[in-house]
Amino acid sequence: MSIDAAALSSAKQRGPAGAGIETFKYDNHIVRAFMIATAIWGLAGMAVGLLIACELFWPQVSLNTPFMTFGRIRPLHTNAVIFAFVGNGMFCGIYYSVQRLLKTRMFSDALSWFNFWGWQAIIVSAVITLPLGLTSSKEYAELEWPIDIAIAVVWVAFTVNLLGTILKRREKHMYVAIWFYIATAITVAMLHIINSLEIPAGLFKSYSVYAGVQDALVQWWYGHNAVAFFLTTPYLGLMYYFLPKAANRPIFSYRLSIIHFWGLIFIYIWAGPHHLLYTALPDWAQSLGMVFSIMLIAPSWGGMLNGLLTLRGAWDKVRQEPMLKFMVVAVTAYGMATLEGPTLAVKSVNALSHYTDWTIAHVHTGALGWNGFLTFSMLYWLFPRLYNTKLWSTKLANYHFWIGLMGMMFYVVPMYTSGITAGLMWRQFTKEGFLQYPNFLETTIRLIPMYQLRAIGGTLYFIGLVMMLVNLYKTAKAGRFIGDQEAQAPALNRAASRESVKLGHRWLEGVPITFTVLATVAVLVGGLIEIVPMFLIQENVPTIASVKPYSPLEMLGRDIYIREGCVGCHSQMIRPFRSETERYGEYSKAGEFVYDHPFLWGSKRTGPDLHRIGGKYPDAWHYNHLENPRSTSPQSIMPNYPWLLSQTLDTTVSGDRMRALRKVGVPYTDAEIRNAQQSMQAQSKLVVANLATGSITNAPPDREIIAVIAYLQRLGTDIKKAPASETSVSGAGRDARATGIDIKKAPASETAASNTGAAPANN
Amino acid sequence: MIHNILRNLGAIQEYGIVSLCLFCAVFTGVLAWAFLQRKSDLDRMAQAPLEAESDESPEPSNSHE
Repeated sequence: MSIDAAALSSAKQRGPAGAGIETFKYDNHIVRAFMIATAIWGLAGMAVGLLIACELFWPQVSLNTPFMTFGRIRPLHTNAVIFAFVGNGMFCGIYYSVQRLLKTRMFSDALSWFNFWGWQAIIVSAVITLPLGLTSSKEYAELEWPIDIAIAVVWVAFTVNLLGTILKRREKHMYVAIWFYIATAITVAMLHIINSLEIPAGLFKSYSVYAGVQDALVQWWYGHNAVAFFLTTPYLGLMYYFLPKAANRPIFSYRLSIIHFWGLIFIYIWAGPHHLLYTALPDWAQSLGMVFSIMLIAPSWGGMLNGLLTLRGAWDKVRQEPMLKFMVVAVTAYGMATLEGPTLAVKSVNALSHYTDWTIAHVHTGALGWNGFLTFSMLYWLFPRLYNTKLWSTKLANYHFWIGLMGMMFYVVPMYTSGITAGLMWRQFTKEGFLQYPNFLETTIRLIPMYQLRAIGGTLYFIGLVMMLVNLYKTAKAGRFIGDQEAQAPALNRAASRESVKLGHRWLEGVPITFTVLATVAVLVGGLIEIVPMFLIQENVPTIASVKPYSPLEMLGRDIYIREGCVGCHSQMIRPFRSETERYGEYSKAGEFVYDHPFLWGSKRTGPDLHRIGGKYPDAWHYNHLENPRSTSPQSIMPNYPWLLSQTLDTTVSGDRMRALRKVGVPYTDAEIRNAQQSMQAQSKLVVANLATGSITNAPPDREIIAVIAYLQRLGTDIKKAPASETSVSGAGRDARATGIDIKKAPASETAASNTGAAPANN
Repeated sequence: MIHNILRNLGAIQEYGIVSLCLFCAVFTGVLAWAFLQRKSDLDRMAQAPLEAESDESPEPSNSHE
């Protein structure tokens, strides 16, 4: 049993009514469950990461099976490390620290366990569905609608449990870590629900209610703020709790933590559009995203410095305590990532970095450094305490630190090199004004040594993780777990709380409901100002008359494109740069995506952009390329897709899917839905006939590859059919201003330029 | 109604400037608010994580080295 002397002292300050000491028990069972889940899912998520890293230089490692291709399991890696590893780590730290900071057991053990098992069930469902190709394709929100509902239910249970615990607390004032937990709970719920609004078209198929530009804005509002409120704010709360504990000294400046918290949650939410610079998103939204991203440096670095300066005069402890070593690197990585993020949000830098591995390096500085090392630090601190023993081996923990740090370096340095190399090669022109590297594959091949080095870095990091697991297992074996830890604290005197009401921050820390409402308003303002105009003001998404909905066969082909995760490597967004229009064709317009539910702009080009792929190659080229990419593009790192040639296309779903798309705004008529089967048969015959002219005479018309080819050949072609006057709309005018290109002349001249661009931009 | 208000806001480009002003006002307010807090209150709050149980601080072991 433990008793808190300082709490008793503060009880005396509250007056006689607050002096009644109560005995209660902290729930360590739930903390242990999340600790173990963190360790197991960390191992699994990073193993999948290592596998996909290897696939980028050794595509055969996918064994030609659909369930192991890069496109399908890349989302498995991101979901596993974000929601399983970091998610469980976050819950673990929150359940431990909230009880102690508020001097009470969790509000409801039943909700705690519902949170735990519900979260694990969601992760298991992701492990099953993502390799099966059941995906919405929206980054970090790939899980299909039944799982989305489950996430919302489990998250609400967690939020109720957290807020309930705060309401039944024995400590009047909420410490800064609790503020970050509150912001996490409410914002993640808001982001998840708004981004996941979709219309089901079957048990595991749905279409986003948003289309094109609007879908992109909502998705990256979610994606950016998932980084903010899932990977950052809860971990900042953990930093504010565990760093002072480990250093045995209070946080450097509590005043700075107030500025850090309110500044961060208010600004972060605005910066989402920096993921869409130079795309078809309206300029005002792009500029807003860029400016707010730069301002984000202020609160982020305030927090980082607050963490590091806490160690003033205690650096000797960093030498002795591996836990502190991990924490220092984590906080430093946070500082690096939060300086680099705004730098990448500057449009001129983003023009070079976007779609390259620079983004991957940036993300992994945060993921491996900030989230990974902070989680390791927390686990090294918690295990000995929960098992009432000492860490099995400090030396092994130190080895883990150094091998993990080396792993990080071997990961990020090659990725920076790869990103800058690719960005520069894509935009390099010869003296004569032609692209220096017109074949996309030239760049890809140049990057392969970097991918190999990255895999070495990932392996080192993974070995470090295994070392930690051995150390923690041995620690647990040597100790005795304390499941219900008895503690004492004075009861909260609510009457005295009300008497001391005033309008300072200290007052706000004592009124959790008001605090939660204010934090909600702070995060809502940015989101509303950014997103609402996109839906209400017509000029943001100009329509183009020649852009029509996909035919039923193309729609099913697009669904297969989504299923296979092609968006993970191929963008569909040509930016208004000469280097891109020369390589790919005319730049993309907002009005071209009005029927795209979901949008498929992508965020990384491991392969070339596909927005103008339609009509660029014969059908037979696509057939051969999908069966074995190296048959048309020697040294390509794209996986084979032989199952597309053997699997029969399920056309029975077309009616349900067209009706679902009609609900979200695609103008399919009753007749089109009724005649979908005939339409598909007719279009399939055309594709088969085209294949026959390319010497592929045995292609059955009912295979999935026929639909994929139909979709690919449609991509980006609508605008080519339009008279020049139809494309000269207000949104396009914005692009034209940005590039100095006369939109009315652009289609013909740029298509010609593209056609004379020597070798095709293939993969 | 909201639709009409937004449509009548004028050039959409000015929307960003309005947002920037709003942000600056809030951020300045938070700065001022933080600096007006009593140091004694802040110091007391900063101690919260350290008000911990006595059994939470076993020293790290070197026994397996």
